[in-house]
Amino acid sequence: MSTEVRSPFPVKKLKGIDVDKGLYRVGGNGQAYIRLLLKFARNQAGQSGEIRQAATRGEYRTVKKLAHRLKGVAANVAAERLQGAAQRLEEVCTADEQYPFENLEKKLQQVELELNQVISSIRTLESAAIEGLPAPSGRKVDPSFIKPLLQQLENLLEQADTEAATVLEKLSFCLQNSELGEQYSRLTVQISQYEFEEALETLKELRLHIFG
Amino acid sequence: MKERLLIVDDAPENLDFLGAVLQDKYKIVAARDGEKALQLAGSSNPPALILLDLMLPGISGFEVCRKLKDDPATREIPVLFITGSVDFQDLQRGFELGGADFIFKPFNHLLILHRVATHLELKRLRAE
Repeated sequence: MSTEVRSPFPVKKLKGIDVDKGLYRVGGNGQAYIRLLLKFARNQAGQSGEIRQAATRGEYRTVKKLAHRLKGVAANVAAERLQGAAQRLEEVCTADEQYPFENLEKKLQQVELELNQVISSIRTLESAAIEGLPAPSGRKVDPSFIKPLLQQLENLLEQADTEAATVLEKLSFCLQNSELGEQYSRLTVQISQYEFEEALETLKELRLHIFG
Repeated sequence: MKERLLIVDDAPENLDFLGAVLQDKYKIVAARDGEKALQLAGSSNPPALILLDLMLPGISGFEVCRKLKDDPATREIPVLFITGSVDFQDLQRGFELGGADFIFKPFNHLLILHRVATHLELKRLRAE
């Protein structure tokens, strides 16, 4: 099976991320890798805070679980130093039921440092992606344009079909900066979290605003 | 027409990754819990294959598999378990419940593509 680069990736290096390895892991699909990285930054931004809160409360099983999850997610995008730091944090919670706080604190600080680095790197990528996009139109929502797309989106959401995210992207120029921006943002989050039933509810709300 | 795969995992990041690897070749349907997975598998448009995480909130992956295999409507759908650890008791239980194979984390896209293609091919051959 081929691993050649099938779609471009805008940068050669991202600090804290092995771009070549990350691209390899998604079969060389640059667009898919960008989507993964952007979602990583969006979803993991608060992760170290969540781990720290659990540690402060003395909930070490939760710390271990969150560190384990972060390790896996970091591996998916080839953020290897972060993966290693999360693994060391997980191990310190595995070794003993008595957790020397200083040791845990050091490992946690490493995770925070590496996670911040990875997220900063991805944000530079995000800026580059945004610069390449046309400016938002600011037009009013055109119901005749939007109606078939909303119908398609509804059908996909009913079937839990992940293509819903692609249809939502097509709607972004109509909805993102319109009076329906709040509902659009909510829909974006729900679909990116695979909460399709909740997204269907938001979509109904959106349709009601547009078509009455 | 692309074949339809159902991916079941409570972690959106894993759904993102598996979707990114498989979406060029297959139509991807996703669920974050076992209840929803059973509902989608039993629908009028069932998946050709299911990738099922073992550790799910509510009904576990094993229990989802057992229910799928008990139901004549979903029995023939190959189930590939997703797991983060090589625990031989888990492997044995998974196969005893009718699971077709295991996919281990961290993921390797080539192994995922090969395993999915192989089990779809086996399913086709069984149906002939």
